[in-house]
Amino acid sequence: MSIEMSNAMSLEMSREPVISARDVRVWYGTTRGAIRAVDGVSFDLAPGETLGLVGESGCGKSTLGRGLMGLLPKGAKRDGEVWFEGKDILSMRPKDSYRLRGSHLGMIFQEPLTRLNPLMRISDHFQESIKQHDPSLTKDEIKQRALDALRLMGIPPTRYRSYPHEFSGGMRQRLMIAMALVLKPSFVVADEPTTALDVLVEAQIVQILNDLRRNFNTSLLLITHNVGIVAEACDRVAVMYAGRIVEQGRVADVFENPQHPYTRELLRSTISLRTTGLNFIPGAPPDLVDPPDGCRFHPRCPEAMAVCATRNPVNIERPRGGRVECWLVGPEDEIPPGGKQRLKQEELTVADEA
Amino acid sequence: MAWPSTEPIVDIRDLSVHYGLRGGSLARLIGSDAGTVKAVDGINLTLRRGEVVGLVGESGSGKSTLGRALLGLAPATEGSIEFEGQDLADLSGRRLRALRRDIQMVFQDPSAALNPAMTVEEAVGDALRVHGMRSASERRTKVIDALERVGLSPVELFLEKYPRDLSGGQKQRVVLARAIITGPSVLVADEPISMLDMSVRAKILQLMLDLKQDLGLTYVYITHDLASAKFFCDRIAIMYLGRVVEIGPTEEIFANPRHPYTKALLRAIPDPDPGRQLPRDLPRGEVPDAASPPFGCAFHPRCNEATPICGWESRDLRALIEGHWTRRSAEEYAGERSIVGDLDHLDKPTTGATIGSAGSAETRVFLDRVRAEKPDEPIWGGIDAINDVGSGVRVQFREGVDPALRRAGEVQVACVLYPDEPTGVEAAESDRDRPPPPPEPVSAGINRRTVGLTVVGLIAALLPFVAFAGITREFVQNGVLTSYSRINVLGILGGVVAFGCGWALLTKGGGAERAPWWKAVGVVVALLGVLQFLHGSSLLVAVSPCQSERVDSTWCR
Repeated sequence: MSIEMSNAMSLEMSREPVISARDVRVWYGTTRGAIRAVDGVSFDLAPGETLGLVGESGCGKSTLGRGLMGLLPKGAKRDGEVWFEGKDILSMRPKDSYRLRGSHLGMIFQEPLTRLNPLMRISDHFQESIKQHDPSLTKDEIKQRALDALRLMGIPPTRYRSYPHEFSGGMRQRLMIAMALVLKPSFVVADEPTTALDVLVEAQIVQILNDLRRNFNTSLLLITHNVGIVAEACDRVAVMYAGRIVEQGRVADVFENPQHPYTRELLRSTISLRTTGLNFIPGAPPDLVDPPDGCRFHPRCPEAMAVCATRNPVNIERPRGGRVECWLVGPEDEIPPGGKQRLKQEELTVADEA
Repeated sequence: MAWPSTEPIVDIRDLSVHYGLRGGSLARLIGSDAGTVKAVDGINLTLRRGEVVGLVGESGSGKSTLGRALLGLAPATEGSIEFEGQDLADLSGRRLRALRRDIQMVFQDPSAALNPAMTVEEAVGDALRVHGMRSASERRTKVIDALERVGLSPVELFLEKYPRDLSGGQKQRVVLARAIITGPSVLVADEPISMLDMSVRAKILQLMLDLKQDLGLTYVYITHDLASAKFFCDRIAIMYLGRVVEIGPTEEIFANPRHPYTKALLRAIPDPDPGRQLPRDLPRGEVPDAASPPFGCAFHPRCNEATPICGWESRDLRALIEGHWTRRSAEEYAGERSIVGDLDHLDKPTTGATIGSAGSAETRVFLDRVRAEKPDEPIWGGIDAINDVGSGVRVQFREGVDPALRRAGEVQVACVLYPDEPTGVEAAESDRDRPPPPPEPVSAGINRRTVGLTVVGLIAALLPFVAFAGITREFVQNGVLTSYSRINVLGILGGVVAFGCGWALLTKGGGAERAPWWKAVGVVVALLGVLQFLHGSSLLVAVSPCQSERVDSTWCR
C-alpha cells in the first residue's frame, strides 16, 4: 500500500519530499489496553508545501504531530518509518534525533505563553536556542540572526530585550514562530497555532503562515480543527478520523469534491458565513482502545453499506489526485456480493454525542 | 424563526462598568490613581421579548462584562439595567438572587461551569434548591423535565453521572438544563459553543433555537464568531473596547457593514471554500490596553480607513516608527535609532510628542524617510505641525473626535465616516461626543471610598493617643529625671497612614463634584497625621519637653 502511495505522490509533486511518513503508528498504554491513537498513517511533504491536518478532537492529530517530532510522553510506543533527509527518524538513536529537533525539525505550539520562560528576556530565549545548535556563533551574530527572524514576523528590534509578558497574545505567537524559524528548519509542525487567539489576530497569524512557504521554503504540517484555516493557508489537506487519514489531496479538490463522507460531513457541519441550515455529525469519534470493525466511521456514516461494517476500506487514489479510503469510491471488485446494501445502523442518541 | 415583539424586556441605559486598578501598596496608601479599566463604557441597548441579540467583538471588548452585568454579576458603575420595570443596578443581593430566576446564564466552558463533585441531578436541581424548593421529589420531577427538554434522554442514564463521564456537548446540555430549570425569560449565553468540537457546535445551536421556540426565551448571544452570530441572531451589536461601535439588524450588518471594525471582523473569517479566497487587508495590531485607551476613536490605530481627526497621538507615532524599523536592515536601523533615541516616553499618551536626540534637522530627515516609505498612512494627516525643539522635534497632533453612536441607514454606527445628524429620540442618546482625552470616571454622591478613607484616617490619627508601642528615652540631670521622650512607633505609623488617607481624600475624595467638604476633612486628617507623626517620633516632645512632675500628663504620653 505504502509503495503505491509514494508513487502516486511523487508523480503529483515531482519533487523529492522533505519528509515522508510510512505507516506510522502510535500507541498509548493504559490499564484498559492500548489506545491506538495513530494507526497507520502515510503522507509526503514537498519542500515549501503546507499540509493541513484536520479532524475532530480525539482523532490523533496532535499525537501524530508529536510522534513525528519524537516528543511523545512516556508510555507511548511508535512504529513505522519517517524518512527525513535519507534517514529514518523513528529508528534513530535518541541522541541523533535530539540533534535534529530545533535545527531541522521545528515545532510551534498552541499556547505561546506557556512555552516562553517568563523570567527570560526574548534575547535570552533566542541566545539559548541558537547557541544550542550553533555554539560557534558570537553574541553579535546571534543577535543579527534573531533580529532578522523577528523583523520578518513584524516585531521591531526595539523589543528584543523585552520579557514575554510585555507582548500581546498575537505578538507572542509571532515570537514562537520566529523562534521556530530562526534555525531555518526544513520541516515545522504547527499544533493549533491560532486556537488561543482572537479572530483578527488569528487571521494575521494565518497570513504569516501563508507567507512562510514564500519566505522560507519551509514545509509545514498545520494541525487545526478549523477547515477555514486549511482552505486559507494550506496546499494540501489530510482529513484524519480515529487515527487514520481517511482522505488527502489538494485543498481545492478535496473541499470542492469530498470523496469521503466524513470529509463532507465535517465541511457541512462547519458554521460559515454562508451557512443557511445547521448540520452536524451524529455520535462521537470511537474509543480507540477498541475501534469499530471495518471502516471506523461506519457507525456515524450516513451512507454506510454492509461491507463497511466488516472489511477495512482500501486506500485508493482519488478521482482527481490524492488518496481516499472509503468503499463508496471503490474498488468495486473487492466488495463482496451484497456488500453494497444499505447498512442497518444502530440509532445514535445524545448518549453517544461528542 | 423569530418573532421579536416590540415590547422591551430588558432596557440598558448608559451602562458603565469600570474597574479601578490597584497600584502598589504605597500608591494605594497615598491614594495615587492607578487608573480605571472601562470594561463597559456607556452602553444603551434594549432587548425586545423573543429576540436574539448578539454581542460580537474580540476579547477585551467588554461583551462578557456586559453579559455579566445583566445578571448583576458585574457591578454597574453608572447607568441602569431595567428588567420588567426594576432597576437591577441598585437591587440588594437577596432581591438580585430572586431576579436571577428570570435571567440565567450559560457559560463558555461547560467543564468549568459544572461542579465535578456533583451529579447531573444535583447540579441541575441545585438552582431550584437555592431558590427555595425544599422537596427532593418535586425537584427530581423538574430536573427530569429539564433534562428531557435539552435532549438528555433516556434521563435515567444521565441523572447519576458526574461531569467527567460526559462529553463536551453533553456537558453543555446539562448547563443549558440548569439554566432553564428556573423558568427564565432571558438567557445570557457567553460563547456557548466556542469550546465545543466542530461536529457538535451546530447541534447545540439548534438546541438553543428549539428551547427559544418552546419556552419563549430572549437570548443575549455573546461571541467572537460572526459566522454563528449571522445564523443565530436577529440583531447584532459589534463591540470594541467597552463601546458599541455598530448595532443593527443582522441582515443589514452583513449585507452592508459600515464600521471599519465590522468590515475587518467579516474579512477575518476564514472561508472553507477554497474558490472564494480573497486577498485580505487585515487591521494591524491588537486590542489596545483598556486601562489607557487610544485618544479619539478607540479603533483608529488599527483602522484601514482612519481620517486625520480620529485621534492621533504619541503611541501611534511609536507604532509607526517601530513598524518602519521592521522593514529596515540592521545598519539602517542602528543609524536611525541613534538619530531618534529612545521611544519609551512615547508610551505616555499625549498629542504633542517630542522625539529625536541628534538634532532637529536629522530627525526631520528621518521622519521624511518614514513618510516616503508609506505616504498614505492616515497618521500623516493627523499631524498639525512639526516644530524644532532642542535636539529633536515636537510633533503636534490634531485633536481627535470620539465618535458617538449615530444613525446611518438601518443601523447605528460610531464612526466619523458616518456623521449623519441624529434624529428624534436618538438625538438625546447620541449627544455624547466626548472630547479627547476622555473625562475621568465620575460616580454620584459620596462614595464608599471617601467614607472608608475618613474612618481609617481618623482611627489611624487617634489610635496612638490611647495605645503605645515603642521606646522610652529618659533624660536625667543630677540624678533627677528632668524630662523624657518616647518614640511611639504606633504614632509614626498612624501618622503616615492618616496623612495618606487625608491626601487621598484631598485628591480624590467625595463624589462627582469633589465637594470642598471632603477637602476640608482631608486637610484635617492629613494635619492630624502630621501631628501624630511628629509626636510619635518625639520631635514634638523635644520642642516642649515635659517636666518630671508632669510626666503623667496625657498629652506627653
